Amino acid sequence: MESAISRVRAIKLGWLVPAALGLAIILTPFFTSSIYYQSIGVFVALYAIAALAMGTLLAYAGRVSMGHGAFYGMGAYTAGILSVRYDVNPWLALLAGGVAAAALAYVLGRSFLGLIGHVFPMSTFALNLVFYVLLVQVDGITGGLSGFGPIPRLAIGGFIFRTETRMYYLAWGVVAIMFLVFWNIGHSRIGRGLRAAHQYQGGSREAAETSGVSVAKYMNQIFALGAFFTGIGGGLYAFYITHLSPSPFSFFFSFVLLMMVIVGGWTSMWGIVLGVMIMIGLKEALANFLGQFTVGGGGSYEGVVFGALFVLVLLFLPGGVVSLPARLRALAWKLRGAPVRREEAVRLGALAGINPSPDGALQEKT
Amino acid sequence: MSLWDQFLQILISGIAVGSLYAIVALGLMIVESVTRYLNFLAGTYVMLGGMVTVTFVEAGVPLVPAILLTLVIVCLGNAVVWRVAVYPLQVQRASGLTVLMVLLGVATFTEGLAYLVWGWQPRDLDSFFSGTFHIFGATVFAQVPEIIIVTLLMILGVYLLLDRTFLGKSMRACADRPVAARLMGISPLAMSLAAFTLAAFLSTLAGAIITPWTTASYIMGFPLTIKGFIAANVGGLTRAEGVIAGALALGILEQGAAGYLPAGYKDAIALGVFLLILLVRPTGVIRAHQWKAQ
Repeated sequence: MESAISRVRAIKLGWLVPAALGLAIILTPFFTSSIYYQSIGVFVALYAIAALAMGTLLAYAGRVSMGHGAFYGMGAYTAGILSVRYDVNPWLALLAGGVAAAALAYVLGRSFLGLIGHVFPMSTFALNLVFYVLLVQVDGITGGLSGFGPIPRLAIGGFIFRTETRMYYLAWGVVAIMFLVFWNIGHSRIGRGLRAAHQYQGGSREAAETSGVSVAKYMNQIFALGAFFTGIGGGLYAFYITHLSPSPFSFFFSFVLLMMVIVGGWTSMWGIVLGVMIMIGLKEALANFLGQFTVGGGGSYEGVVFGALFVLVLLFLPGGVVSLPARLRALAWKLRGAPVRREEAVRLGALAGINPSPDGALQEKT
Repeated sequence: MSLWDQFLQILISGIAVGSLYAIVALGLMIVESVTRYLNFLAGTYVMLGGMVTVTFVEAGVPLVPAILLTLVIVCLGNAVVWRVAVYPLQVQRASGLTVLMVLLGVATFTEGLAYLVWGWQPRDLDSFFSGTFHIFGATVFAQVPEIIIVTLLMILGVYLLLDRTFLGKSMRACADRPVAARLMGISPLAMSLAAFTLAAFLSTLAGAIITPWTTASYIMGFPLTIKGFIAANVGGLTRAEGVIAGALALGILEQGAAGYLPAGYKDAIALGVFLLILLVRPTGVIRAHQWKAQ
């Protein structure tokens, strides 16, 4: 009886949080007229696109990418260069950026995604380093370290995406499309097949492949689709900032994206968006707060603070912020004297809206 | 300068750079085979080895005691990191990906700290030798023979440790047959610490030795980690000879490319070649290892 009641409450809560977040996202521009806060809202959406691609790759394919900064940069530079140097229509250039990033991911993924161990993360890491070096060195096209611009704005007829508010809704619109697409994939043949093969969610790749699931193909499709959206996000960034230079696309950017995924919680898409908000809030707080007291500005503390926080989260809250309710509930059970079995933890986790991996920790099968 | 002289020059400096990569790759290989974890700190040790030694020398400590002090400090720091970050995860049997991400966080933290402490300027160090000399027409920096000799000594030391001592044999047992090793009373956790410490010791020493030639800066760690990883993978990951050969090939390739392309491309060459090799033969170069599907 009691468990039935708590289940109902949990489901309601499970819908309440995303609904509140979604409403807050839609209404935010009406409550602030400050350009600063509105631009932060745009950046949250732009980063959320890349972070969602990274997080869905981890959630569906069980692979950690350390190079989505390169796909983001690929989209941004393709869109920027096409529209500035070749006078391509900005919308077409945006699409081309996404396709270019997806193509790059597809070629990489064909060879690396299937490999267990460290080859995939390290090859994406290598990709990001090479990409950065090329951005700096091929300065005839990319403008080198100082970059290039001005990049034209996106426009529909006379409606130009010039203000923060307009970019805000455009970028969040793309995030909404990603939610729809990836939610559908999760409930389609690809999602079910990958879940059956998912090492960290109790699946077995051998069993799935024996049943006719082409695991490697599905993984690569998820990877390429995520990279496509990441490229679109990069393109939106280019058309929003209107000037491109290599520094935002260094490896540190990929590290921050990975942090957003882990801090928020890779087991839920809302968690990833939450992680983006937390990290950008932290970044801005560092820049504004520490910047007042230090000579070098708050930015120079990012490495120390982010590195330490990343380690702490991975050690003590591996499922990220979204796993907090399930953890607290399990703790409450424990305090009540009820022994929390593994299945119980899984059930509690599932009720809290996270996938049935006990606490989001990436655990080896024993 | 004739073509032959140029070739010789590239060969010699390539071997010197390659020996640094070889040490980093050996450290990665040892940790990987004992624990299955990728030690993302591999390049960070080298950076610390260079920077801390420079700091001691600037404070007036003679070179050799400075290097010894640096080794002690970095190995102790590494032990603390192991206890805080690796030990709990190994006890929980966490996935290798979690350990990789945690060590990535530690490496980022260390790099950020190094930036705050030492700033962005590259640091230089005076060595026992200075100036240049000539072999068969190639101009060689005086530190290069020193680097190669110390590397050879380190490799010999690792060989003796792993082949002749009880500790080394225990580590190898742990790498080959973990369960059987446990049954014989060998603690995988102790061997994990030993492997991490050995890797830290080797890479820190290599960093201190190579700094007079290449200078040290806070940013040098991450590229070294990935290059060590490349060398280890191209060389086969399980055999030390293969790893060392891979590292030397990588060093020579990089120096050769640096001779013909703008200097900025240097870092991209090795990584690009690695990506190409893996793209063409994703499993071929690492077949020796127990990689399997998922």
